[in-house]
Amino acid sequence: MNQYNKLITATIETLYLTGISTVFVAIFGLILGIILFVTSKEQILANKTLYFILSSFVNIIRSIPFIILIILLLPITKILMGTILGVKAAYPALVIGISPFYARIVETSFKEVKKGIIEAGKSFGVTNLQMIFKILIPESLPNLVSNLTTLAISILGYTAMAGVIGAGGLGNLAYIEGFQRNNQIMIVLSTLIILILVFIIQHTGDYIYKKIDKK
Amino acid sequence: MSSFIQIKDVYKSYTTNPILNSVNVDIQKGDIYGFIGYSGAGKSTLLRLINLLERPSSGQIFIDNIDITTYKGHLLRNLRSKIGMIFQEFNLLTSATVKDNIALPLKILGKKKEEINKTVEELIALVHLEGKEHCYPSQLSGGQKQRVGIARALVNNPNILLCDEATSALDPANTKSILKLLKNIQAKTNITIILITHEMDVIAEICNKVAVIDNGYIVESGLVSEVFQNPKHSITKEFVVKGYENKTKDDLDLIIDNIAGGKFLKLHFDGVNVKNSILSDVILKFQIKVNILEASTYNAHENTAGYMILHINVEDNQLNDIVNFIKSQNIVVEVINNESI
Ligand SMILES: Nc1ncnc2c1ncn2[C@@H]1O[C@H](COP(=O)(O)OP(=O)(O)O)[C@@H](O)[C@H]1O
Ligand SMILES: [Mg+2]
Repeated sequence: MNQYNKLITATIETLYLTGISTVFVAIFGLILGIILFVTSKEQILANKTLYFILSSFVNIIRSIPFIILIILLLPITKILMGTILGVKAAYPALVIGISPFYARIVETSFKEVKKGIIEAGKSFGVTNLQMIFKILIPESLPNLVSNLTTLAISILGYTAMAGVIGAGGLGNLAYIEGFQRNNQIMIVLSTLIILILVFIIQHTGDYIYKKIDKK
Repeated sequence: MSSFIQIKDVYKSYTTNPILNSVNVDIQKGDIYGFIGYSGAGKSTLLRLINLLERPSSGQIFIDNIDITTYKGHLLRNLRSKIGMIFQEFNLLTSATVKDNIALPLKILGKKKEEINKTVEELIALVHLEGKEHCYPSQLSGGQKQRVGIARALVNNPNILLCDEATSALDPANTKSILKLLKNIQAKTNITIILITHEMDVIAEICNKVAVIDNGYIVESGLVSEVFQNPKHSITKEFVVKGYENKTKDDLDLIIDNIAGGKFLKLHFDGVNVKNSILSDVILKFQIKVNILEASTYNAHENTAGYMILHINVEDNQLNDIVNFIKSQNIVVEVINNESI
C-alpha cells in the first residue's frame, strides 16, 4: 500500500471512529443524563440511592485518564468486540469513556430549563415522558448540540490517542509511519487532516446551533 | 354545597410556619375572583392549590362538589387539562413558535392535527395575534407573550382560568389591554377566572369579587364594590388608598404645577373616623380662604379613606399653626410644593 492510500484509509477510519462514537455517546449520554436528572433531588422519580450510584459511576469514569481507561477496559473490550486490537477495539473505550461527560451535560442542561416552563407544562397536564421529550429536550437542545460538538472534537482527539495503542486511524498512522519510521511528512499530513476535521466539526456544530437557538 | 369552587379549611406549610391558615373561599361559576395581598402573603401558593401544583397540608378543595385533593396520575392530568393557567413571566417554550406553543396542550392530549390547527387558528384570532403564528417568543413584546400565554391556557376549552400576577410584568397600556381581553373572554365564555395580584387597579378593573390575603390569612372578602366602599381591615384600607392615589397622582401634579404662590397641604385619611367639619373648622379658626384642589376619598358610614389637597395663602408661622391644628384632629398632613412633586 502506498503512502497516499494509507493516509486515505486512516482518515476514513478516524471519521468512522469519531462519527460512530459520537452517535453512541449522544444516545447513551442522553439516556444516562435523563436517568440522572429524573432521579435527582425533587425530580419526578427522585431516588437517592440510584442517583448516588449513577452519579459516582459518572464521576469515577470522568476522572480516569483516557489512556488508562483504555487499558482498564481491555477485558470488557475483548468481550464486547472479540478483540483488543484494530479499529473496532477503540469503540468501547471511546463510548464508555465519553458518555458520562455527556450525561452530566444533559442533566445540567435540564436543570437549567426555567422552572416556570416546567410548571406551565404541569399546568396543562403533561406526563413524565412528555415532560422530557416535549419540553426538556426541545428547550435544552441548543445547549445539547453545542456541547456535543465540543465532545465530538474531544472524541476525535481521543481516537488519535487510541490509535497509538493500535486502534487505527490518523493517530495510529502518525505514530507508526511518522514516529517509528521517522516519516516527517506523514506526521504533518496526519496533523493537518485532523485539524481540518476539527474545523469541519466545529463549523457544522455552530451552524446547527444557530439554526435551532431561538432564545 | 353550591359553590363551583370551594376551598375549605385549607392549611399549608412547608416547614413549621404555615404559609396558609384556615383558608375558606367560595367561588361561583362565572366569577372573576381576585386575591390581593403583599408579596409573600401566600397568593401564589393559594392559586396553585386549585390545580394541585401545590397540595394542601390539610383541608379540602372542591370543584363541582368533588374533592380534588385525592386526585393523582391520570385523574390529576385530566383535571389540569381543564384548568388553564397564565403566569407573570409567561413561561412560554423558547424553542417553539407562537403556533406550536398554543398547540402544545392539545398535542399532549394526542388530538388530531386538523383539529389542533383549527383550534389554534381560532385562539390566535381571539387574542389578536394574527400574523405572529410563526414568530418565536423572543421576537414578541411582553403584552404579545401574555396573549400567547392566554391562548395556550384556553386552547383546551377549560372552565377555570388561573392568573398568577398575569399583568405584573407589563406596562400600564399592556396591562389594560390584557385585562380587557380577559374580561371579554369571560363575558363570551362564562369561564371562571381566579387571579392574584398586588395591585388594586387590577381588582378594580375586572374582578367582581375580591379576597384580601395577609400573612396566609384571608382577612376580608366579598363583592369588590362592597369591600372597596367599606374596607374594614387595615390592609384592605392600605390597598384602597394606594390604588386610588396611583390613579390620580398624575392629575394632581398637573394642577399644582399650574398654580403660582401659596401653600399646598395634603391631608391623608386612612379610614379613621374623620370629623366632617375639619375644613370649616380650619376656615373659622384661622380666618383664611381655603381652596380644595382635589378631594379623593372613598366614603362610607363614618369611615373615610383617601386624601385631600388644599391650597391656602398664608405666612409660614400661620402655616405651622394650621398644620398642628389638623394633626391634633388625628389627620396625617404634609406640606407640599410644586418643586417637590
Ligand atoms: N416551595 C416552598 N418552600 C418553602 N417556602 C415556600 C415555598 N414556596 C413558597 N414559600 C413561602 O411561602 C410564602 C408565600 O409565598 P407565595 O405564595 O409565593 O406568596 P405571594 O405569591 O403572595 O408572593 C413565602 O414566604 C415563601 O417564601
Ligand atoms: Mg406570587
